[in-house]
Amino acid sequence: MGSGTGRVTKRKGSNKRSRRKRTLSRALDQIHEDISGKGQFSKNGTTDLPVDFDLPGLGQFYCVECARYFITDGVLAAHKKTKKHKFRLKELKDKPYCQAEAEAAAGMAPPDNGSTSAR
Amino acid sequence: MRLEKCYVCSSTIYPGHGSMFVRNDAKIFRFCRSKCRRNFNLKRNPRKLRWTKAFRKAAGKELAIDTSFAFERRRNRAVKYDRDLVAKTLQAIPVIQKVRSEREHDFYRTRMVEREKETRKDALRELATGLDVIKPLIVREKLREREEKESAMEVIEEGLVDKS
Repeated sequence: MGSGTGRVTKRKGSNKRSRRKRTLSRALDQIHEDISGKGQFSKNGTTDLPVDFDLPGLGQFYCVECARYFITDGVLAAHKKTKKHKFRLKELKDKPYCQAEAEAAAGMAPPDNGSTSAR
Repeated sequence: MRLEKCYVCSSTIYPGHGSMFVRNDAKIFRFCRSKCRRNFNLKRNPRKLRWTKAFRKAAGKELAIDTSFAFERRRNRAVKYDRDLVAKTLQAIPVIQKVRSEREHDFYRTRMVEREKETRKDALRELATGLDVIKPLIVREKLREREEKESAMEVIEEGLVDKS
């Protein structure tokens, strides 16, 4: 490979990093929980986020909707004007998909837990 | 024996089949086959994939709200064995299935009738507005030329009539 032209494109970074990014990124239903305040991050948590030296900007500038850390306030503000962010906002307008919906679609009723149902 | 439903396509997963993913917040996702797992990994919304049950129900393509869907459910309480109950259940299963399939068929039929009306309306509208598209340009040009010639002849004839 690459013996003729002399142009060899080298992979930047390791595959491990991209895989970790994929597994650690939060899913839409988790982000929904974050926004509603039940999850790990609160909606306006830019002020009281814990300081983490491993994260960009010490983990102080976080976009809840996109689950991303930014280095400064300005970069975060710029990010909020991007198409990606707006598209994410649009995606989050829908109710998150869940296993219960999959089961309802298969023609199942909600689970019977005994105590609540008096049939 | 517990039969699970696939997170993506809502098909039944029998024991020993499919795969399961446990997310780091302990939420469980079950997939009936690699197709469904891959679509989940691509972060696709099953409600927007046209081949899933969730899409078909959300888009109004299948019967979604019906009393015949109240029987199959996960029962998280132990039922004491009762011979009569088993007999009744076995009797009820085919009856419920029949009722459900009939209702689903009715739903499909009414949907198709509506669809037929819509396509007919669309076709008529297209016919009314877009006939120019299928008439070739040359034919239209020729027709216009002929009309112009005829009108010119009429003017000349009228002139002749006036002179005489």
